[in-house]
Amino acid sequence: MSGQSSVLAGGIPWPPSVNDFYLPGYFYPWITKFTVMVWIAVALVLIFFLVSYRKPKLVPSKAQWMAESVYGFGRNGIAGDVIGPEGIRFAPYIVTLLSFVGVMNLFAIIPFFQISPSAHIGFPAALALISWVLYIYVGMRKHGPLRYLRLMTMPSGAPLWLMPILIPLEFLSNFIVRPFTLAVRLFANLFAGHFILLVFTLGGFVLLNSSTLAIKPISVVSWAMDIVLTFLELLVALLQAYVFAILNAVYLQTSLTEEH
Amino acid sequence: MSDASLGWTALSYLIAGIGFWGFIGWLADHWLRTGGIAIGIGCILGAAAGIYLTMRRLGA
Repeated sequence: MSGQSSVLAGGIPWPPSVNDFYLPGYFYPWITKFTVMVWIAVALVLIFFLVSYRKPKLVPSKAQWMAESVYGFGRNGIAGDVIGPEGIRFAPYIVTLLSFVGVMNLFAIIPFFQISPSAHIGFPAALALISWVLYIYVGMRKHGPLRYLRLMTMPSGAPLWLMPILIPLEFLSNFIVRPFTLAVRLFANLFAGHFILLVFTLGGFVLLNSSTLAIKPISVVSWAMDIVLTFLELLVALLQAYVFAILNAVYLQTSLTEEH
Repeated sequence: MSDASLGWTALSYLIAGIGFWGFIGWLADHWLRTGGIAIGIGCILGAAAGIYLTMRRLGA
């Protein structure tokens, strides 16, 4: 252990602690860096859509074109495609999720932030909770509470004697596993991505501080990998925002269908 | 439904099946002192039910 910390003693704060998440001053402990990042993400999404739609023109400006593309993608590509014509009314929710989660995830690779609020389980969990309440509410509104529960827990056409075995499974997988995996999928992807970048950055310093001269140049390879993986993270960030939005649409769709 | 979400559906059925009926088996095992046999029966039953539900959903 002492050998390890002497290798890392090149001015790198080590080991990282929970205190790294807090802001100095009297903001402690109520406002963390994650809180600020979420505020920035909210402001960015809000201002972007407000400004680009403020004076809509028939021949759109660049910003208006971008906003319309994002909205069109969420509306037609996700809400319309997955849920069907009934799903268009969920387009604002889906697009908000898509852009908000997308911006939050991008903090994972923006210099000086380089960690996403999504890498903290609390934020995906809150988003998943909202979706959970929404798809249950939508289903109950459409079918009535009892009929909705029957649709979601009793697989139609299965033999009656199997029902006692199947009903708990349908209940668990539709009401417990779903919101859990929704949150954990987003969290784990961003958390793992942050770890990978950290491993290669610190690995570079460890190699550079090595006592063997021949090992020092290898640190360049480690940092080069860092750059490559940052582009991978860009892909993961946008892909996970898309997956989060599309799974929300799928859950809403199963709440609205007559049988599944 | 998209292909990825179908995959997640299958996974959640299998996890829920083995987890839930395995847990019931564990309770039964504690109660009846079967020496672990009830857990095995519960897990296999749950896995079978999970596979059944997956096939119903994903099969033709």
